[in-house]
Amino acid sequence: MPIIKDGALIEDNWTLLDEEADVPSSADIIIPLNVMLEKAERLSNHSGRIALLISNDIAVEDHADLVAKADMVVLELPAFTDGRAYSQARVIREELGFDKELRVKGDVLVDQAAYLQRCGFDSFDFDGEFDAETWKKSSEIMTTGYQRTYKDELETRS
Amino acid sequence: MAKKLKGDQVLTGQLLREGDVVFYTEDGNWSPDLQNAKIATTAEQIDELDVLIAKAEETNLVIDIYPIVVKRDDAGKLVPDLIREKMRTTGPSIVYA
Amino acid sequence: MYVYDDFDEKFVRERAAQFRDQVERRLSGKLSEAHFRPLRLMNGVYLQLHAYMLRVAVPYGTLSSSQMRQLAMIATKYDKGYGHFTTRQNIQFNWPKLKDLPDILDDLADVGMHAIQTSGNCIRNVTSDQWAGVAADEATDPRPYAELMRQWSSLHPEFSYLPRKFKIAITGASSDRAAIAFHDIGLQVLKNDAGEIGFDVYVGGGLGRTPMVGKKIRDFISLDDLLPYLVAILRAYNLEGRRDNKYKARIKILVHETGVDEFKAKVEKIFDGLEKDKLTAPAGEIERIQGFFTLPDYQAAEANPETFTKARSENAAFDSWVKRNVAAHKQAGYAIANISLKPIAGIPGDATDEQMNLVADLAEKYSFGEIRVSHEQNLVLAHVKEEDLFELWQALVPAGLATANIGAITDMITCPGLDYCALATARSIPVAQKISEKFADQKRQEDIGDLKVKISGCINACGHHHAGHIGILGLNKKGEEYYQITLGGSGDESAAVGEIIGPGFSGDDVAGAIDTLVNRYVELRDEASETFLQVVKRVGLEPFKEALYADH
Ligand code: SF4
Repeated sequence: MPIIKDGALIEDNWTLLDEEADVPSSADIIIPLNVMLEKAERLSNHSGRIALLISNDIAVEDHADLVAKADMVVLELPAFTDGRAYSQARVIREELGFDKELRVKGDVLVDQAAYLQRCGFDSFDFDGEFDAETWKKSSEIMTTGYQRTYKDELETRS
Repeated sequence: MAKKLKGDQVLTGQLLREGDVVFYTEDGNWSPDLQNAKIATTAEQIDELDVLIAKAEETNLVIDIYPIVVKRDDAGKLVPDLIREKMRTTGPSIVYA
Repeated sequence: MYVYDDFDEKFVRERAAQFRDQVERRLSGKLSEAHFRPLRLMNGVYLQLHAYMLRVAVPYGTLSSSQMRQLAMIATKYDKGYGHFTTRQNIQFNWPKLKDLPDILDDLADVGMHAIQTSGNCIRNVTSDQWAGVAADEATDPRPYAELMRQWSSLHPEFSYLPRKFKIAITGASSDRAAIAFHDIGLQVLKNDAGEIGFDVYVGGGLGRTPMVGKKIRDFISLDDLLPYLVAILRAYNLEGRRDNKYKARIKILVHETGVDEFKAKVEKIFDGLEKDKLTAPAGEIERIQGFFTLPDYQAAEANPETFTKARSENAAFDSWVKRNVAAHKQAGYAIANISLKPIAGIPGDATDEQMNLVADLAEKYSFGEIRVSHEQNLVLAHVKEEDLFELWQALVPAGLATANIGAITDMITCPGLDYCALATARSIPVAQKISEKFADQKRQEDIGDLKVKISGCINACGHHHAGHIGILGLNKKGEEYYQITLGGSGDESAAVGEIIGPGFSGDDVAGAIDTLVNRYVELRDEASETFLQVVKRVGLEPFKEALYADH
């Protein structure tokens, strides 16, 4: 699945850790929140970076300490019409003050990229084909916005 | 189609660009006139409708395609079974504009 | 009224360009229908029974003459010469083609209009009192705050993929003409003794399948905190609203299932954690917006001038129209003139391009170039000098726009129903037409007095039938249309949901049933001033049931 950051495809070296998989301790891994909660001790010797995958029915503020320690947080968009991750992202950015990479994974539509970015996401792991030209065009059409948001690059009324 | 319909059926949809109601015809085109519609009567033909829908969707000309049940009236003309579909075939029942 | 500055204009133009790009990708096949659908809905484009439908936003129901003329132009050029004003103070065009929609949006942008969020699971067009700013019973003009919310909610990055649609209504008057209790959020603007503005916040009202009256969760939230408080409510809803069942996805169900107190606690907790200064309008913005809503330049005008009283005494039809359609104005010598879009046996809420142009001209001539759309699907000229009313009325008569029935039984709210709507189970318009014919007699209508009949073509309740003194809901039983009647609903400050009276009626029998109910009411009332709703509240449903079903 393609990973997009700053409008371009990037090489991704994060590995999703599922239940029992064996990964070298130096690998960069993405760990689902429930695994993290149950098996945190397994990771005590892990030397690679650790990202936290949080599903969209979780109240992120309840896990502020784990978020703060994570090298990346990944939120889910199981269907492009399910907008919970947008609010989770804002809480993570604006209330928990998380300032490392925030990634969204799932059914991302190119037409949503700008909204997602404004909520604080900076990379996209999405199902489907990536068309750089369409991506660029559709994320650049709106240069104005009425709301001030995290790291907003849009022109707002001053 | 989640629910299997009973009776003779035709495919209907709406033109992507215009929105007009159309019916799938014998020759594989779409016509605004229900009377030109290809009728599926046998179980086989009815089963095949799903395939036709999938194919038609690929052409990106018609959207919201689904089968409707039709009957013949006394004059031998095709009429949809459901009032909703009758309305789609004839247009609003009121004098408008 | 509010006028776009360069920023608003740029925003709306960019949005039109964005939709043009989306339509191009859809037509070329790059974008699938499944992905396009929510995108077009968020821009007011539906696929209806016979064609696409475009719903254009009329924010809080205010239009300028030039905007109205542009709507008429669109009706002529891209549609079949008419439009339909809706219960959400918007206008719908029933026959546009997808390929023309980008051009239509550009034409709308030319006059500072758009179709943003008139549909879809996002914050919809904010609605308000059609008499805002001029009603005699108003404490504070709600429009500046409606405009503030219009801007804040437009393409909101966080709240564009909500569990379901989200409607906000606001009023500043003691009589609630905006039905705030039946909205996801209802706001009552108030002013305290110190002259500060605040808002009472109601949440979880709505009609549809499960009608509920909104509950108050906050008294007098300050103007600075208004937007942050809305963010808190919307965030609680976005995160916890049900997404497993479309029919349980509105905020009213969340509030109901969570319990008001617990829901309020959640909202307050989120609210407390917000960085409020970032979420509120920039300094000076409210004042800038308020600057647009100053009162027009009224001239000193005499109240009840002789020309006016003379015309009334000499012309009974004019007098009837004044009684029914003209309302009291804040300013002496001025009046609020309501233009009924409910001609006898007509299509409720429809206006032709010619009528739109005429209203635009009349607004310019008599009402500072401003027009309002009411949620009851009528138009309003909000600042007419009493001495001009007779001339105005004379100009309305030949255009079929002078029906004297505002608030009367033939002033029905009616949704498009199965004549247009893809979701409908039965037709609404022909039923309204038959009822209208039955009660065409002006004297009888006047004798009956205030009676709100509201008709929906399916359980979605766009015709607000639950809130009708008499509500009519179109259903389908074994392939036939039939209609369920409810009594005792109310959409104003005494908000109530109507009760089903008994078995339904066929389309041919509804008008007769309404006739029976009304006759029974006339027998039951203690005096002519006791309204239908008051009688229903006093005597209950029984006597009406008896009248309807006794010989069955
Ligand atoms: S109430 Fe039903 S029929 Fe009427 S407009 Fe709404 S969805 Fe359509």
